[in-house]
Amino acid sequence: MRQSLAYILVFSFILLLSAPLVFELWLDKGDIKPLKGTFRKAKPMKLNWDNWVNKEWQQRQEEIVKKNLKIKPSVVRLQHEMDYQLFDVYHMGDLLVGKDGYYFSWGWADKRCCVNTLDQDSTRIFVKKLKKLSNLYRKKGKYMRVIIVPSKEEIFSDKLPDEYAYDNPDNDYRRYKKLLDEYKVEYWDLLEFYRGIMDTASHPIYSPTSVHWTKYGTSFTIFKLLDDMDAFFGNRMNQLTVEGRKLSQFVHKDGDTEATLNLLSRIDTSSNFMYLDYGVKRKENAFRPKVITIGDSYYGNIRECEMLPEIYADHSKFLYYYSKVHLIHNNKTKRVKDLNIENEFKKADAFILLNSSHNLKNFPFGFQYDIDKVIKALESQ
Amino acid sequence: MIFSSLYFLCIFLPLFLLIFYLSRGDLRKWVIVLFSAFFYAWGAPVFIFFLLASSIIDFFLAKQFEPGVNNRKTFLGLSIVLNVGLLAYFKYANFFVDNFSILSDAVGFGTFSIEEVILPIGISFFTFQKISYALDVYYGRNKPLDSFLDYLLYIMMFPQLIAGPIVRFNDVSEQIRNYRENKLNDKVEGVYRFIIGLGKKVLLANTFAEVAETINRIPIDNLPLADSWLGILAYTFQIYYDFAGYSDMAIGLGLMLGIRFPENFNFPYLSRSITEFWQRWHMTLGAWMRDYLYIPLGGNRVSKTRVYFNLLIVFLISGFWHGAAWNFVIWGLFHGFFLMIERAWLGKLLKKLPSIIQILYTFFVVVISWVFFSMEFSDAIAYLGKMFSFGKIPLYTKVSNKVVFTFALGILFAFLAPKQKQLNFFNSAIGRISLKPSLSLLTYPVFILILVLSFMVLMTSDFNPFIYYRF
Repeated sequence: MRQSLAYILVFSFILLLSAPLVFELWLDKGDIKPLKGTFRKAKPMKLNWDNWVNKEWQQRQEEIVKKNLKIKPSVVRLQHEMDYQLFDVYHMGDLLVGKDGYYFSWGWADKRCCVNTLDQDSTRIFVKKLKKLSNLYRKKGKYMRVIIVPSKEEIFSDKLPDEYAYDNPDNDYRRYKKLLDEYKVEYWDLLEFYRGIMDTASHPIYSPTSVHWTKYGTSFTIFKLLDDMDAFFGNRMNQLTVEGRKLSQFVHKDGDTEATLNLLSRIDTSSNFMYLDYGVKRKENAFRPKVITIGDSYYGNIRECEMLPEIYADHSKFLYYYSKVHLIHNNKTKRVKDLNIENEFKKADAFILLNSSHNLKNFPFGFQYDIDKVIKALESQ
Repeated sequence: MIFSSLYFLCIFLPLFLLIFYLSRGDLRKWVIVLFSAFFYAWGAPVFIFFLLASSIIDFFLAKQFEPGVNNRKTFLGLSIVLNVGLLAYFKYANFFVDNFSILSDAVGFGTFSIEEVILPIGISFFTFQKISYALDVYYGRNKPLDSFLDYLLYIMMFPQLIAGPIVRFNDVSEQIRNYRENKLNDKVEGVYRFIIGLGKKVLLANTFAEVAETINRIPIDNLPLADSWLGILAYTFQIYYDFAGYSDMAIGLGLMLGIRFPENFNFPYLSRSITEFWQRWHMTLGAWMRDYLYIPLGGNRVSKTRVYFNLLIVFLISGFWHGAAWNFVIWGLFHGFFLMIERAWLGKLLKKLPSIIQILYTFFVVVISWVFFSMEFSDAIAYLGKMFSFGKIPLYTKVSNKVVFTFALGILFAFLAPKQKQLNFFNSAIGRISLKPSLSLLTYPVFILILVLSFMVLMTSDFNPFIYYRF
């Protein structure tokens, strides 16, 4: 009895050690919800003498075991859940836990209160050129709009931890606005607009556990923008409509911070998130403008408005951080540097520069190097 | 590959244990040696040939040491010169060349350099074992091993190959000579011991390491007082649980294989003097230094002044053994100095004080010594300056509840040593299954929990440093 007990203990130890590999054979890929965030898989490597001697192959094998095991997402979620429940520990780099369960981006909160990253001299030059571009657009009957979306850190500043509560009168956002005012570039600062909406809205405009505005919150900007554009083009555009409304717990990006925490449980269990079913009221011989949008991640929800391809022209493009191109009519992406940017702007009917108020580090993300080319192309058009 | 890596835990170890337990007789020795060679080659693909070649030479040289053989002293000298020479070259060549270059530049002869010499992993550990074998055979404490396979088993056994414990030949010669099927109890004890070690390393040491690393990234000039203390205390517990955990894993693996390695730690932070500390910290290094350096230098049977000098020499070499850098030398001398003054007068004074004061004194000196151990000398002085300056006091580093909990556990396990009675009970619970099978069953879930939690941390976190790996 004692002998067999000891055998069982030793054997079960070996079995436990090999459990991750047993799961590897047993689990199907579809069984596991992948992790959100910066979890990257390691690529297999063929063994040869060189990579054995310089230990590259060995390191890769260790990485594969560490990163690619099928059981990993479940284990990571369990570990994160335990740390969260037992110790209030969150496994996310850029997370600032505010008051009343509000999560913020630490980096953006820091830029609101304490750190300047916007280079004033180069931004001044850029804004000056932006004014020139805006004049050219107006002259050519094209639509241009600069939009500042309030970061969650701005609109919920009362929920920031006390050490981040200081409202720096000279932060990047205010410096940018000052320059836009100085050079008389027309822009929308949507802060007051959203403050007004939030006073009466009964569904989340910004979710407590997301970085961005909600899909519902974004809809106010979508309608405002499309109405403005339609008026500019003489009411010839197809019209976005709301066909239905649905209430549920948050889906997709409306709780993106929470999703990136990779927990087993939900933090925000509210079922009060509003999701709109969009439709389109088509006009005869409707004008579908080709729209170029340059923006940060806040434009994500605008891009995902499923009826936009019915309103914008097929070759409209979203230039994410002026680096990745999202096409309007399909989900394919390409790189901005592979575009003929002069042609794109020449053919465009509308240009939107959209950015959130505290994400101005590296703004405008490379467009400052191409704006001269664009102006020149438009001048010669 | 370190014991706390997922590759070792999920692939190497289960595969090895399976093949090892399925094989019988001398085949088991072959399984150990072949897996050990693969284990070493994994981290040192070129140096495995160096290790094998030097082992062949050492094995045959040692055959010439036996009493009665002509010129045996010459052969011993050859063996020692070979081993110390290789260690000196691989570990210290860069250090000496760099320092001579600085000196030569200072006196106007300009600088010079050599191509960087890469340190073979574990060289400090296996060289000391080879020397131990040579000296034990030479002084007739043991006969040389008959088979080269047995010699490789002693030198290369993977549980102790790259980070100790430093097993003196005397400690295991009989076990290797009469190697046979180990008792089932030992295997179970080995499993438990391995899991305890893994838990110490992964659950405690790694958490302390994250705190120490975070504080280490703050420029010393901006370091507030509280953070400087938190940083060095975190390091103090990190290095203890890191190395003690690794030693436990090595001892556990040894037991699973049928070899009982000597203990390496015995609640060192409970020591009442630095002298006692060295009887409880890295005990196998201390024993090696005592047997093969301190005693041959004359030990305690020489004049007082000579004893002090010997102590300083031993600790200078101990410090230098840890790494080719001045901070290790200073760390060694720092300990040597306290050992000297304890022997001269402080020891007698300490004995008159309450135990708690003695423990606090020792802990304080050890904590200060880790400052020298963990950073360059100039940084260490600046860091000590921050620890004892009362300018900026508040703690700026964010300390999570998890860190607080880990500190509490770390302190508890480091300072609350069980009494012999409790230790016997514990041993019977975890190891001696034939005595208390019910207790083994009761404690088993606790160990499974530690193993599962360690796995979870290893899969989740990329942070898994190991301090003694580089020695």
